[in-house]
Amino acid sequence: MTQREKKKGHANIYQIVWRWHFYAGLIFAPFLIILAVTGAIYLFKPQIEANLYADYYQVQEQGEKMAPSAHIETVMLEYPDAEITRYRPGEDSTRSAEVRALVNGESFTFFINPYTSELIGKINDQHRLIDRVEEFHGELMMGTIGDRIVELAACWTLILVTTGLYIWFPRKRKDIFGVLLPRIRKNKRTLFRDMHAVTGFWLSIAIIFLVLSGLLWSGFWGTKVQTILTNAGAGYPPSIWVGSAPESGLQTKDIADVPWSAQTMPVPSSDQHDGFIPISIDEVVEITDKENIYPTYEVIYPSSPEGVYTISVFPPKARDEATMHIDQYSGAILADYRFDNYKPLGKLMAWGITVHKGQEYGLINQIGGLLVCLGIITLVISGWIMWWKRKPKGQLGSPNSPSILTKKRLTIPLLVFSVVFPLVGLSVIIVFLLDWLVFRRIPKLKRFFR
Amino acid sequence: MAVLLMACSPNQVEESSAELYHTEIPLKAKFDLPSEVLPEQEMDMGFLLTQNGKPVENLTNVKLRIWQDQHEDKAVEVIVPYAQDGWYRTNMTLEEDGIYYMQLVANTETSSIMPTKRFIAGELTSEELEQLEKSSKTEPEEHHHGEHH
Repeated sequence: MTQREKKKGHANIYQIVWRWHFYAGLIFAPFLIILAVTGAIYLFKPQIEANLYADYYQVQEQGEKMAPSAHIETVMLEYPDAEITRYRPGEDSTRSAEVRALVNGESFTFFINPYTSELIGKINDQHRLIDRVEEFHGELMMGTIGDRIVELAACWTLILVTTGLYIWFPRKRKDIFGVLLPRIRKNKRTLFRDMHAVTGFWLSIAIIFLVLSGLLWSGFWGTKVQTILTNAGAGYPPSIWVGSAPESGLQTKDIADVPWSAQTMPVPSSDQHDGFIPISIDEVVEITDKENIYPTYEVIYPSSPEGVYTISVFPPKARDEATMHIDQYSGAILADYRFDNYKPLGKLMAWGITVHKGQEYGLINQIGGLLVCLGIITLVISGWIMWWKRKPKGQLGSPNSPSILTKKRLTIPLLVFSVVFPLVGLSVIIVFLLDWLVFRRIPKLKRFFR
Repeated sequence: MAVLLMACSPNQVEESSAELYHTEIPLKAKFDLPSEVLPEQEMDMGFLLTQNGKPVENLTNVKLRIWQDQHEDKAVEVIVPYAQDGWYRTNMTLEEDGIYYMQLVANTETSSIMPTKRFIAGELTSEELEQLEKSSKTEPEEHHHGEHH
């Protein structure tokens, strides 16, 4: 290979990478804006909710708190058909207790004054602003399809970052301006270029971190990875992200039948365990409070006769997390998982998640997250402007390049990436098919896409 | 390697995976009660305590609380002495017909339990039957939850 051919080969690779960066950016930029905006709001969930629901959260301290069962009784008196699903005792002396219940199929949170058991107020959980923002962030409010779209956008963001870094990589220039610092006083075109490339470089690690930690939530890739790691004994213990909780079990075999003397009497539904009755919420809270669990915990009620009471808490710092399962009949602690019981990758993921949410390091973490979100918006907008300024009329203005299939050095990484992130693989196949079957055969489209 | 892992891994978390993590060894109790309880008749009661499949012997703090429906404040509390092979035995005579509850409270260093059983002594009045039916309806049935944090 002559020097000239070699140079041309490099130029081709550059063109291909640029073309891929261009299309990926064009298609996924809108999603990145959505993720950045919703993410920026969600980062401040604690402050926003404390403000929105201040009247519901705050109570005056007065003597002794009443029993949890009394708090729940308040809800049951008002809504006799309510199905209690969760109870949150409240972390300190001025915080209300929360009872979550299904009323006519809708989930409500009832705020109770723990000292008087009075109902302070209720929220329909569907109307919680931050929950809807989170739903938008995680699945565009479109359920499973939305979840997959967000996952796809996240994976393609990794491609955007790596191709972007390749394009950014200074080949000749020795100057730090235009590489590590933006050139502000040159022309506008240079300014937008640097706004895009320099910002992109500085944010690349943070974006990769946000994408990888965020992908853990995704329904397809995240669940798969969590399942593999849990099964391998390398991640979270089962039932925290994936896998089921243990079952409430009593040795029912060989137990002498307790007499339900009147034969005509209907057998109560609680009689599934030979007359054993579930322990009370007061007992559940009593058991939990002996176990040194972070006080913002909530009790999740059993979902079936074999189910367990689950104590769940995900505080700002990952190291305070706990998930505990209590046998609903015997009160025995069947599983008690703390951060220390996570395996190394589980710990890493838990930390990644609290940092992603802006909670692990308090305000600094939130501000850092906000800066990255603003940076992503800057990247998208400057990218759009650069394209718009360059775009010829009637054409998309995409960089011209040979097919990626002509370069092994690019196809192999793409192949590996497509396997590790199967949704990307699927989308790449669809793109190739579209290109081959549609774009190349219709002259107008061919000209448009060049 | 990653390819193989992705392709060949099951989609379900295996039940045995829990054993790869920190495990609890919960106490288990088996109740041995007479098949019929009548007032003013001595009722023999036995409780087998096991942990990890092995009998738990010589506990001195095994407690039994018995109360009549609606009268938990008047619960009778007795220590159940150890008999043998993990069995703890005691007896008691109930005065009246009615709906009763018995709660066994047992603790070892690593586990605590408090299973509660409802039973009937003698005959029930129609009022009590109604009460029983009512209470059985308010106990947890199917709930739906499972969202992530």
